[in-house]
Amino acid sequence: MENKKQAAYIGVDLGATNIKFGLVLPDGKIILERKSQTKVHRGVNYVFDQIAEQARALFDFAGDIYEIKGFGIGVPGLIDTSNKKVVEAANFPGWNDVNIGRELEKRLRVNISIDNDANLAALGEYAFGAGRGVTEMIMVTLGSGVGGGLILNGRIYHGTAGAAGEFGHIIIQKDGPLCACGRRGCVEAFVGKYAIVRRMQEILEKETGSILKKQSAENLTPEDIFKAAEKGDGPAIRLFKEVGESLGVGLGTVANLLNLERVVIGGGVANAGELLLEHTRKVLSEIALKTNGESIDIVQAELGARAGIVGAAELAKIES
Amino acid sequence: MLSELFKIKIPSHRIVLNNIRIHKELSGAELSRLTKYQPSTLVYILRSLKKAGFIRVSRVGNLEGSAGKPPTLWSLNPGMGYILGVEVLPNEFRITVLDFACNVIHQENQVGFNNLNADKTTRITVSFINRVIKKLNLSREKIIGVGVALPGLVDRKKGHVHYSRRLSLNNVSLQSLLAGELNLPVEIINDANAGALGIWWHLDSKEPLSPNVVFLTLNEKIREMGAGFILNTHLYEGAQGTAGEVFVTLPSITKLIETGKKKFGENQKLIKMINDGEETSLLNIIECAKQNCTISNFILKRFSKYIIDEVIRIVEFLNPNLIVIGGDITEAKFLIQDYIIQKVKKNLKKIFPTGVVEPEIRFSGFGIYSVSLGATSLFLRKMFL
Repeated sequence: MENKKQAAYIGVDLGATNIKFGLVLPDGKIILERKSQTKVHRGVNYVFDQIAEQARALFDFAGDIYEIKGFGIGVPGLIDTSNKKVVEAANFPGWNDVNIGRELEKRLRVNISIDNDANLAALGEYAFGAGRGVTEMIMVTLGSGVGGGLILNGRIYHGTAGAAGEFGHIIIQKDGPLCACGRRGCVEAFVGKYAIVRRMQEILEKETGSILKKQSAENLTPEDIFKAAEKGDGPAIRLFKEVGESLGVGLGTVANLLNLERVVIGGGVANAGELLLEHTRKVLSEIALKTNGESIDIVQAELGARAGIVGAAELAKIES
Repeated sequence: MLSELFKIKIPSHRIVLNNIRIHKELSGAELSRLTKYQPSTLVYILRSLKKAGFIRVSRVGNLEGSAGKPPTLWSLNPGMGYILGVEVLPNEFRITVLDFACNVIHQENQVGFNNLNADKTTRITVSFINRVIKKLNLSREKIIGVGVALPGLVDRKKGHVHYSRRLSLNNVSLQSLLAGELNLPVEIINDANAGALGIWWHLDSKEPLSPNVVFLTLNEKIREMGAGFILNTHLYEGAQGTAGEVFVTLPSITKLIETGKKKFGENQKLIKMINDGEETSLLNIIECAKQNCTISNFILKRFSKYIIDEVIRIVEFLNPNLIVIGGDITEAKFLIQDYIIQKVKKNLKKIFPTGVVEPEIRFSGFGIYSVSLGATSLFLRKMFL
């Protein structure tokens, strides 16, 4: 009797540093994972060849056991999903107006599904992670930048040009700190990785009683601050309170605007967990309308760095 | 609920009816092209709809340069039924009445209600609607439904008002109260959501409908902007139906007048008007601004800045195709529209240099009746979709 192959999807998370690949089952379980360094400096075609090579290895692995039904990829930047094109990608020089779908389909002879990486992380959490069971949610990724992916009515919400969900650039304080986007007072200027480190450095200039004083201020990372806070370091704890409150102001605005059910917080800074989120919840409940504040819960992401891969595979499943 | 008379149960019949609604007048051949139905199927559907009274032969069309039988053109039968849309404001009611062919047959407003509460709002709304029905001599059997829009947190699906600060309503099942008193089908909706639905349903059919539309409403007596969203072609109301609270509180007109007096002196049309005992209403300010009153133009510019900030925030986060501004402020369209559009464009260029997220921004062509007209959409949806 002929064995029926099990359906599987390839999910790819293209980042400026690494490309992550996964062979994913329809229930979101990753069977095989791979990672390679993104060599953006070698040009667009080189990166496409890199992706194709790793994908072929996954096809080989699938062999007679799995039937690869689709291929999804998340790319950081502005994506034209219907034409499978990268419109703008700040961290990928020379990638503007690149038809990634056509190039990969040419190399792999498989249908390619493409979307913004933050949207796919949100889709991954929505389908198999901390967003299960709701239909209205935002996933906020706290890292160097602050990204947002919106799920509305159980679908990714892209907006007209794929530029929706820019949570990091909602202005929460007029004339606040300068943001990388050139404006002042954006959420990212308070809760992004660089903002956190800069603020801690400012605090350390005035504070004497922090264990972080022993460390070189230039090499400080959010992880160092988190570890210090876990050890009970007062200034580090106060910093996470400030950051959590700023995040709460931004999310309060979003809660009023969209009456969401859940906020999923991911990214490196989110590892601070309750040190951060306790204050976020408090401020959100003060800012949001009673109905909108009560209906929303704020939780940590469950899929971690794999959310992008799982979301990309889920997109491929939806579109296959 | 919709009365049995207006329930069109067969989907193909609704599709044909909706196409005729959109295009106002269509021949069988045009309908066949639009719906992809076989001519014989269409003949059957058209006969059924005519027999039920929903459509009529409007005229016989022209043949362009060819011989043969001229086409019969079908349109909706305007006298088949009526939909009423009502906007309830803190001191004013606005009503729009549509006939079955979606023509606006009547619009009026009534002002001067204060200290509203659940009982008083229900009573006055019912008496206002009954007065209009009597005035227009509408048969109650022909009333398809009454859509009621109001500011506040409104759960459309449950017909419940969680909270409306401006109308002093708290936890009220307004839909059932109104339906009971009027003995007519009633639906309720947040005012900004009604505006958004109205844009979707009443846009000129020649324009392709935008999938993502934001409607911003700004009324003098509310002083807070509200937003209604059509996202991915559907009305987006959020988890509990309370999305769209943008919380932009406009500055007090009285305070702005005082600032204006200090900046520009008192020899101004608006100040003379106030000194003569006229009301300091937004509509009076707009009138004075049209007559080059510096203080009035200063006030409108300050209002515009709030609108600009909100539009930019919404564009950044929701990236819509179209933003429509409605409510009282539409009376100032020719004074501030260009200023707002240019400022928004300039700011968005800084944030998104390629300009890909620039939406179309316009003031509602339906003026102060944009919300009451939108409220009629609650029943258009039931009839035609």
